[in-house]
Amino acid sequence: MEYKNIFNNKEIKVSIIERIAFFLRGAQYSYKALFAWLVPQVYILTKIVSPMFQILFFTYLGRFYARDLQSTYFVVGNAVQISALSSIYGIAMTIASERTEGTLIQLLGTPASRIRIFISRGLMHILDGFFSIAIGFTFGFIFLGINFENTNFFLLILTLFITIFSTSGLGMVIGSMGLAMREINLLSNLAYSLLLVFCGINYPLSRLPLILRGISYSLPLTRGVQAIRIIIGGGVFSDISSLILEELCIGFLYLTIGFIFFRFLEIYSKKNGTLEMY
Amino acid sequence: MIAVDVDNLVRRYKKKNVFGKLKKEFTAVDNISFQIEKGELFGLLGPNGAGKTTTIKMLTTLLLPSEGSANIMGYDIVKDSKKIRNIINFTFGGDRGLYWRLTGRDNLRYFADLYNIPRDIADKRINEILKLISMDKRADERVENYSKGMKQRIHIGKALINDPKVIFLDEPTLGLDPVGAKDLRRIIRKLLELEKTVLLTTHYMFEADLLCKEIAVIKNGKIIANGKPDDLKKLVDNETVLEIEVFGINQERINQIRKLDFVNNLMVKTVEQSQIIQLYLKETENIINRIMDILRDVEVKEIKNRKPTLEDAYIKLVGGNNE
Amino acid sequence: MNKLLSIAKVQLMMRVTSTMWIFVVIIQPILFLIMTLFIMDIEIRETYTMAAILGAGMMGTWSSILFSSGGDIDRERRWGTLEMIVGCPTPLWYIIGGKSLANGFAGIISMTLSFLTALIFFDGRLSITNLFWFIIVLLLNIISLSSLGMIICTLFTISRAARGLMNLMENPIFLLCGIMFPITILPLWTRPFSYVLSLTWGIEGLRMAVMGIVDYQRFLFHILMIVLLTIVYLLISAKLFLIVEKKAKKEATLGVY
Repeated sequence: MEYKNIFNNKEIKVSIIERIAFFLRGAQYSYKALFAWLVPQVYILTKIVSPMFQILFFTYLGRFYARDLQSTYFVVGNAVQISALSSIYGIAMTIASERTEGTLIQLLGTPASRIRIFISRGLMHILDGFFSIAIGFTFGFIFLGINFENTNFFLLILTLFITIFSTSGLGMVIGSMGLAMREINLLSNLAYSLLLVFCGINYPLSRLPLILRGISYSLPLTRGVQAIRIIIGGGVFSDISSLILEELCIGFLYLTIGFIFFRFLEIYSKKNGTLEMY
Repeated sequence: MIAVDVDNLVRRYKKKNVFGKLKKEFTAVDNISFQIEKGELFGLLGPNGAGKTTTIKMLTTLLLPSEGSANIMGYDIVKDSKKIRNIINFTFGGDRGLYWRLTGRDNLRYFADLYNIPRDIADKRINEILKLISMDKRADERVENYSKGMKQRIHIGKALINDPKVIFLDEPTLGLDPVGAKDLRRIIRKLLELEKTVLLTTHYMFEADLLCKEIAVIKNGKIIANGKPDDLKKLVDNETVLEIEVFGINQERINQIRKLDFVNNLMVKTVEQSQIIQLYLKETENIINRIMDILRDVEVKEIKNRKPTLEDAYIKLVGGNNE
Repeated sequence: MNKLLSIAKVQLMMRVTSTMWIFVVIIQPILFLIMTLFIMDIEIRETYTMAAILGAGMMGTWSSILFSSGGDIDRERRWGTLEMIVGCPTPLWYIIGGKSLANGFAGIISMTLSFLTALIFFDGRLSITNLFWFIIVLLLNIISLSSLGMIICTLFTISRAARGLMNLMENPIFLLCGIMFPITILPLWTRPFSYVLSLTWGIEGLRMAVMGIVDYQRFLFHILMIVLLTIVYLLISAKLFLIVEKKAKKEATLGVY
């Protein structure tokens, strides 16, 4: 028969390895399909050149206005914060694009696990964010004198991943919200800037009024960047263990909120017929 | 064996005004029932907004019914939604709903993953699907370079990816040029050779006539006729259709003709610069003079008398001018 | 001129309802102001608050021109209305000029809100010594940035890739023009780039007017530089517009690129 694979009516058994492959490929496809920059030039401009200028801008701003803080402070803070380009913009866009591309309804018609769909959307951006930070650090090392002499690199990489992961949680929340409303750009911009203001990127939290510090500690990134500064300065695991543990929890918290919102939207739209809205 | 069994299905939407208050209820699907035999191509026919898409959304587990129930291969659309998703697939009209930046093949592979199909099986299957939808030569180009017809074919390909037992095609030829639409109908006919059960919605009667074994006509959420195409044609058996092609006729004249006692129904189609007035007549004796009297200062190009088609039956059912 | 104003008016009406506009004109400048003030050592904060406000205001002005005008072009390209605009009897130069100018004047909102933010939350002692010259320089800055914006918008109409550059025209320009700090702390080789940007002279002019003009000759030289550079920008943009119009008529491909 000509089309024996299209109509064979056989039950297919799916192994665990195959399931992991589904997840990983899903991450790749969604990145490529919904986010990948059209041309490498644009990627280089937005993900490498533009962030360098953010680092430079704040480093000079700090050099002129903050005599108590060294350049390294600004370089490290901004290099870590620019990973939010991936973990906030990237992830939020990837999730919210399903609506604008009209693919969400196709997606929700599949039997695939919703957690798998949701989380696989973030994976590539976490790697992407790590890449941004690596470039930022390299740039800082060559031109702005960050010193990695006493740094435990294993610990640094671990902490960076945890930090990007937890920021990604916020990105997922924004992405889910973007499925329900159109203002995804505004939300991502806002989140990106708020991280810059509140997470101790360009000044220690002690300069913020007490009420605002509450916001700082309920956001991802705050503890992560604090831990990273300690590690670069030569800190060991016991110095940062509680910071990264808390950061990890915050990440899971945001991820859960994001996922609940995503599921809520699915169930709500199924009930109320608002899927056209997607 | 019955593949799809729809039993008194109702779907209401709540409409809110700008302030989110003053809810108005609107019944999109109003108590419809029909059955589809396994391996059959069933056509759900109706004008825009008749409730076709809402029906398909309920049957594909994307929307909960307000009342009533439906079974697909014995599974309930509300309780067994996850099981149903494994054995059905669907397309919605238009060219959205694909990942434009991926190739056609990668779109299919991606959906194969989402339908939990291991890669080795999926790849074999995708090759066959691409051949079936005549996309094997351009499968590795990005979707954004495809024509509308090609995108629609990839949609059908996606609808085959999980070897579904039942396929729902919502307006598959919507917006396609005649050649593309013809091509797509050829593919749809092939699905039947593969013993798939297909539910197709369309608002083109001739398409339903060409493809479907059974047709249900839906209007304002209600099924107003149900049967084989030939049964529906019988509805207009004893009518005659008169087509008058004219240039520049005004609404007043049309209304005058409409009021003539022997006219059952009237429809105006605009073709380039001329209009074609289709008259559905109860009797044919001595009528031309009375019509020409009204049209005395209008330029008449052609008058034709013809047998009613399924299209005419459809117009009679859904009523009048809905161009 | 009437046409220019009517385009500007429509543009301003449209803007107020766009959230991106609200972000770049209201939220972003205020957040940058707050950040700058927090970066400052407490003891120097009072001295430099006014400088930070000026920086935030001009930041809003430039981002408003850049994102709104550039974003509009991009949107019109996607909607396929770009050719219609290029093809309509009102010269493209007027249309983009009107848009840029309207978006530029929105910068006054950024400036005012930054001023109020500092006044309310940082109880700075705020004063403008030479109000007359301050207003003159502010207006010149807006006109000058709008004309620079026109060059950039025209580049957007020519190539889609230029859009990738949009983000790149914020921080680098803020950095090079010394929008928040004097350019003297930047490496010497960057000076030529700073000097061809009128905002470099403009922001310094604003600072002088606020602090009190000591050296009038130096101040007037700054004004002269703004005016000169503005004229150069306008000439360049006019030339670019001619190229775009020719290209549109010849190839009719604006929508695709």
